[in-house]
Amino acid sequence: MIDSSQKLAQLALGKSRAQSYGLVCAGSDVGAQFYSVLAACNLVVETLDDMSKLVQSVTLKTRLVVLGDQNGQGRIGDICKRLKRLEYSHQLAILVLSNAFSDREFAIRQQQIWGVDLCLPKTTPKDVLIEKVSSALIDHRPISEFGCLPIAIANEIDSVLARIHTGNYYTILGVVPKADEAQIRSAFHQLAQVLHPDRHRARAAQYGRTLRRIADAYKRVSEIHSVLTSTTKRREYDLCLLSATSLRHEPEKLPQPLRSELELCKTRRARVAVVESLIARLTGHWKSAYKSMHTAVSAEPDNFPLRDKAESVKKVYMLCAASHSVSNGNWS
Amino acid sequence: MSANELIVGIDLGTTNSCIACVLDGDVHVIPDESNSTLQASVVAFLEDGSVIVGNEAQNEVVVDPVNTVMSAKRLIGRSFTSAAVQRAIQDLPYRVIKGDALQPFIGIRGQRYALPEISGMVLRRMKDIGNRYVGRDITSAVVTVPANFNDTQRQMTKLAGELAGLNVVRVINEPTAAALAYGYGHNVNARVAIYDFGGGTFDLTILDIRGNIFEVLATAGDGHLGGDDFDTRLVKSLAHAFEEQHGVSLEGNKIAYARLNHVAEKTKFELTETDQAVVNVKALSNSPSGEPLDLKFRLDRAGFTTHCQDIAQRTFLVCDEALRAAGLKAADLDQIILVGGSTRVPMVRDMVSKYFGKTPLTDINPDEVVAVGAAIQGAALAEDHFTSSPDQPQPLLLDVAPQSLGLASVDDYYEVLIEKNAQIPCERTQVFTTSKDGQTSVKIRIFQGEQDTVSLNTALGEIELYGLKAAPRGEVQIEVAFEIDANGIVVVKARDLETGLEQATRLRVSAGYDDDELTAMKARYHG
Repeated sequence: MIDSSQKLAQLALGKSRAQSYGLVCAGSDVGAQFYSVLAACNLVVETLDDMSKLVQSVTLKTRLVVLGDQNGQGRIGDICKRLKRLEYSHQLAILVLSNAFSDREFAIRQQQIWGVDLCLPKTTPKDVLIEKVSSALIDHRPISEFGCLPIAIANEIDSVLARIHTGNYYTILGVVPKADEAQIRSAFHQLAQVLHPDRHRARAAQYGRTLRRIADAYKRVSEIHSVLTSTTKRREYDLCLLSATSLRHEPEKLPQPLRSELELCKTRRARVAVVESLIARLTGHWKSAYKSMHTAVSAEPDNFPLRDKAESVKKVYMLCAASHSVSNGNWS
Repeated sequence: MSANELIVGIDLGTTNSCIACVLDGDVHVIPDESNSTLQASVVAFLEDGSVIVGNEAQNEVVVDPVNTVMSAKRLIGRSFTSAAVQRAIQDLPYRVIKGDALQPFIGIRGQRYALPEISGMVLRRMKDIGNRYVGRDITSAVVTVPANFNDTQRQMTKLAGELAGLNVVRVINEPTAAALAYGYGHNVNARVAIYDFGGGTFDLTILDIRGNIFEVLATAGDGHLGGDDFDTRLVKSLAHAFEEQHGVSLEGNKIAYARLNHVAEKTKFELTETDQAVVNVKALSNSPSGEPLDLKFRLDRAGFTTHCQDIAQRTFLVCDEALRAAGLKAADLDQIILVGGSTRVPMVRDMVSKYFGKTPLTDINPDEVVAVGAAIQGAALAEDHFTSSPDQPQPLLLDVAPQSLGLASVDDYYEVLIEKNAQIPCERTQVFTTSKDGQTSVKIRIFQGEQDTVSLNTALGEIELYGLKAAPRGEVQIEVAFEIDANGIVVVKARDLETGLEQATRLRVSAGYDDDELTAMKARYHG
C-alpha cells in the first residue's frame, strides 16, 4: 500500500516527471494536513497575509494550490482572483480547506463564487481528500507550457522538447541507433504529426510565445531526419557521437586529427570511406578500418597524403593481427 | 466544424485559374455565373477605362491583344533582364516596361501596372466567384504556385492576394496540391510522381504518401517550358505556311499573330480529340494591293508530333533530375499522375507512359485537381487538428525547398546554405563578422539557384546588418538565421552573439517594389 500522501504527491506532480515544484500550500494547519508532501512544495506560506509571495511562487509548473483559511475568507477570494489572472491559470487546480465548509451547500456556493475546484472541510478524511484532489487534477492540464492542448499531445510535445536539449538524434526521434531508414522516417512522421506548425495554426492565438518553441523543435526534428536519412551524413553523425564531440551533426567540430584526415579527401566516395574507417578505428575494428582506407585510396589513387594515412592504418592492423595470432586472443 | 474559418483554394494558373473550397467535408469546385469552373487568367483593359477579367476578357485577346494581359504568371517576380522575361516579351503582344529595380511592368493605355496588380485582378475575380457561391466574404486562401517558383515569385503571388483582399494563408506547390487531391482520404500508401505540364511551366514532383502524410521527396522543374511552347511552335508553322501560300510576311503584324496564337491553341485542342485538324483563317492579312488573304492549313496528329516532340522530350530531362535527387528509378514509382492542360495532348501521354513504363493516371480532371488540393490544404489549416475526429486525420504536407538558397562569399563564390529539396520549414544559421576596423554595417547578398557561379543564380536581395558596435575587425559577431518557411519564402533573422540581442536588418528585395510603389499599387487598386 503506497502511503496516501505520497500518492497525492505523485498525482500532483505527474507520474513520470521529477519536478520539485508542483505544489504550493498556504496556511500552517493546511501544511500539517499535507505534511508528508511538503517536501514536494516549493513554498509553504504560513499565513495568507503574504499574498504576493504566494502568487509569485505559483509557477508554470504548479498544478495544485492548496489554501487554508485562518482568519478571513475575503483574503482567499482575493488570492483566487489573482491566481485566475495568471497566464497559466487554466492548468491550476485550486483547493480551499476550511471548517466553514462542513456546510456542504455553503461550500458549493463558495466554490462557484471563487471559481475554485474544491472547497472542503479540514476534517475531510485523507482518503476522500485524495480522491477529490485527483479527480480535480484530471480536469486540469498537465504541467505543460502547452496547456491549451489535449493532455496526451501536450505531454508528447513536452517530452520531445526535453529530449531535444539533452538527447542525441536517435533518442530524440525515439529510435535505436541501428534503426533502418523506414523506422527513422516513420518515427519522424509521428513527431511531425504533433510538432508541425500547420498542426497548431488553428489555435495559434492561444499559444503566445510557445508556438515559436514548437516551430523551432519541428525544424530541429526535420534537420535530424535529413541527417539520419542521408547515408553519408548519418555516418558522419555516428562519428561525431563516437568521438564525443557533439550531440549534433557538426563534423567541423571533430577533433583536429580526425578532421584533418577527412579534409584530405577530395571526393565524396573517399570521404565516406574515411568516415567508416575512423568509426572502425574508434571501436577497435582494425581490419575493417584498414579495408575502408583501401576503398578511400582506390577512389583517389593519386592522393598521396591519403595513401600515407592508409599505410599507417595498415601497419596497426598488421600489428594487431600479429598479436592476435601470437596470443590467440580475441581480436576481431 | 462549420465554425472554422473558411480558407479557399485557388489555382492561379498561367492560362486558367480555378477556385475550390471544402464545405461540410465535401470539396466544391466553384462555378461562375455561366457555370464554368475555369476562368481565363486574362485581364482586358477596355477603351472606356473599364477592366474585365476572366473568360469574358478572353475575346479581347484576339480583338485587342495590345491592351489585354494574358500569361502574366510568366513575368511575375522575375527580373526584367532574365531570359524568361526577355523570351516572354518576344511572345506577348502587350508592352512590358523595365522598372527602376529591374522589375517588369506592363504598359497599357498610358498606365503602368505591376505584375502583382494584374494577378491581383485575376484573384479578385476568383474571390468574387467564390463569394457568390458561398454567400459570404471570403478573406483567406491557399494559393498555388509552380514548384520551382523562387522566393520573389512567391512573395509577389502573396502580394497579389493581398491586393485582391485575400489573406494568403499559405502558398503551396501545384504538384503537391495535386497529390493531395489524388491521395487524401483514400488511405494511399505509395510513391507517386506528379507530372505537371501546364501552360508555361513544367515540373515533376515525387512524393511518398503514407496515409495522411504527404512527403515530397524531390521536385525539379523548368520554368520556361509549357504548352504555350506548342502554340508558339504551331504559330511559327502557320505563319510560315501563310508566307509560302501568299508570299506575304506576317512579321510585325501583332494582330495577325494574336489571331494565329488563338488558332494554334484551338488546333492543339482539336487534335486531342480528333486525328486531323483543318485551319481556316479568313483575312489574316492583306496582299500588297490591299486584298484580304486567308490561311488554309491542314495538320494531323503525326504532324503535330513531328512539330512538337522535342518540346515534350525536354520534360524528361527534368524527370531524370527529380528521380536522381530522390534516389529512385522510374520503376520505383507506384503511380504517375498527370496535371496541367498540356497533359491532354495524346503525344505527351504516350511519351509519359513510355518513360515511366506504366500508364499514367488520367481519370482526375487536370484543370481542377490543383484547386481541389489547395482547398483541402486550406481546410486542414483552418481546422484544429487536435480536436478533429481521429478516424479522418487532416493531411500533413511535408514539402521541400524549391531551389538552393545561398549567399555570395568574399570572392564571389556561391555558398549554399539550404540545399534544394531540403524539407521545409527549415533553418540554417551562419556567423558573420566585420572585415574592417570600426565597420558598423555588413552586407550579405542572397541568391537562389543551383549554379556554382554566383552571378548565374537569381539574386533575391541584399541583407544589411547595420548599427553594429564600432570595434576592431572580427570582434563583432552576428549570427544570421536563414529560414525557408512553409510557404517556401525566405525569412532572415540576425542576432548579436555577444549581447544575444536581435540585430537590426534591412532586406532590399531585387525585382521587388519599394514602399512608394506599393502604396501607389494599393491606391490604384482600391481607389
